[in-house]
Amino acid sequence: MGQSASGSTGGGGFAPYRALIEFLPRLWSNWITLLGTVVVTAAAVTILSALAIDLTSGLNAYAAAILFLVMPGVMAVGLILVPIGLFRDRRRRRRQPAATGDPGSVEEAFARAMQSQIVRRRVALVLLMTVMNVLIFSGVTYRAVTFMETPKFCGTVCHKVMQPEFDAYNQSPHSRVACVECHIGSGAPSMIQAKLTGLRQVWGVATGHFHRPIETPVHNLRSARETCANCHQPNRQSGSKLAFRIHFKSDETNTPQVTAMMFHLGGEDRATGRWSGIHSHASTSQEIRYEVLDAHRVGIGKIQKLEGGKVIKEWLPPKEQPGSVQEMRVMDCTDCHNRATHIYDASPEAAVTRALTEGRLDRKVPWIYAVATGVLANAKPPRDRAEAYFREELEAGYTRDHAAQKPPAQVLEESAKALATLYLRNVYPDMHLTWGNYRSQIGHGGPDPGNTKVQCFRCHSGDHRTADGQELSGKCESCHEVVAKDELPADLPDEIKPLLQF
Amino acid sequence: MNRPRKLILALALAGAFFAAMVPRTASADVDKKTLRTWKAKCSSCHGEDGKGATEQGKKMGVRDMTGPDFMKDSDIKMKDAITNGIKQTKDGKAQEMEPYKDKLKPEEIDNLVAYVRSLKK
Repeated sequence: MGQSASGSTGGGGFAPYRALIEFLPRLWSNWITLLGTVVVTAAAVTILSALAIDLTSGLNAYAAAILFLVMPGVMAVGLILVPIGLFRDRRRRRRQPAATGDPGSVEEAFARAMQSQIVRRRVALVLLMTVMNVLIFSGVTYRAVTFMETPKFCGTVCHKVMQPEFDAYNQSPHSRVACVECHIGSGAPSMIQAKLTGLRQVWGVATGHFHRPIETPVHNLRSARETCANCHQPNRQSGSKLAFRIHFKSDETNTPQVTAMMFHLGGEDRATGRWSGIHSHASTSQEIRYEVLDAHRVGIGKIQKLEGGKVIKEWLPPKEQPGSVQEMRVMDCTDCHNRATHIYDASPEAAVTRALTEGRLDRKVPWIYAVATGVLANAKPPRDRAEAYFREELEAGYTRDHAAQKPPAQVLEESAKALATLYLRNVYPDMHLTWGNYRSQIGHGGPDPGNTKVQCFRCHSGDHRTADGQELSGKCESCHEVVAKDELPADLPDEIKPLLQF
Repeated sequence: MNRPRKLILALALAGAFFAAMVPRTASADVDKKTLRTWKAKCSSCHGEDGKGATEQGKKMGVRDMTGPDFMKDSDIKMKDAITNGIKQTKDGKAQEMEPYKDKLKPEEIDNLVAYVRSLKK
């Protein structure tokens, strides 16, 4: 490099270049300082760019992390490298004074050096390379940021244990909403919390120490006001909505039984501002809060209704209520809609019912409901041979219990395929995930629930009372009206019969 | 009006009066619509068989509709319960049934009473 400079500029050109080389160790002529300078420059430009984006269109969680966490760290490393390089160079110069000489003042050395065309070219080249580095670095950073906020990243790259949740998510009504939209809040604090949690999880995955199936992070989940309310209007008046619930008898014809319910969803009456129906639990004019007694929010202690920040009514649990108070929580959408995205079938019966209702299992096949639920309930095959397993088990089931009505081979194969789909959707042996692990809090477990302390009946089982003995309402008609119960589709009232798609 | 005709008329009126007051015990034919109403509106608490052996029924202590004790109740009393609902505490249990006067027609309530009578053991 020195010879080249000398050759190009003649004897007169070597001196300024040499002066620059002698001077630049203090700035960037040794590789450590030079690296530090480039890193600092790149980090600074990235931060400035990110800030500009944040000011104009707002940053997502991961961009915020880059801006507030990673980039300052990168910049600090660069800043540390600069003096380290200078220190090393000074030591070298002290050891070899004859080789270095005095470069003079900064201005003088710079002015002398810049008189040389080759020095100017090299300085320009270094500047150009720095700019290119910054552009590349920024581009890569941006790409990394956008990738990290994709569901693919969350569900597949480093969260292999998340496969059940990722599969459920992909088939849910929220499959077009990115994971980070609900699981990570906006701004740096949420990001820091998420990444710290993530680090713990990465360590858990690396060492094999994680809960199987993974635990529901209800305590970490963001408030519905920050998530659900971004798309759904909590005060929308939904009125009443007719819904059909179908189940099948375990008989030869898989007799369908239809229950028609009018659900009083309610909401806010825009004219009066009064809330009604099921959605009055999410009222913005009143607040419901309760004592959480366990990690799954099934055990409920004291319940309060507040208006304007003041408690206007309070219901107390039975004295023998198990569990200690973990937190006082303000009720929101997720207290009932806890499985709005990661939806699983509650049981083999529920899964087979869904398949028969949707037509993925043929209702005309004799005894299919009874045989299929029996086979599915006891199934634990490896996921990669589920279809073959169900083919064998269906064959065996029919041969054992209904040999005379055993369907042809092709029907058994199609049914096995449908059962395998249900199984793969709900059961993950490696993750110890099976039926009923993740339970929805909607409903109350059927028309006559055996366990009355789940779902809506966590609060409305009649156990919670005011100090003067008033029961927290458990009236059926507060939430729904039964229009028809366990009827054949043909026997439904004429007014609603055409609404049933079956 | 001669004496025998007066006697017949008096007996007929008395018969009609007692028929209204004394609970009916005969089974009644139940149409599909009434059965549907029973299943939709009543069976959640009273059970499909009327014995009240459901979670809600046990909680509220509802009576067994198939037993002789229940059958002693008059039609008028049953109609009133369906029409205007029930809100009372019995044997320490809060009993509450919603009124159906706005949801069922009088003839539907009559048919329900007839259906309840048909549940007799």
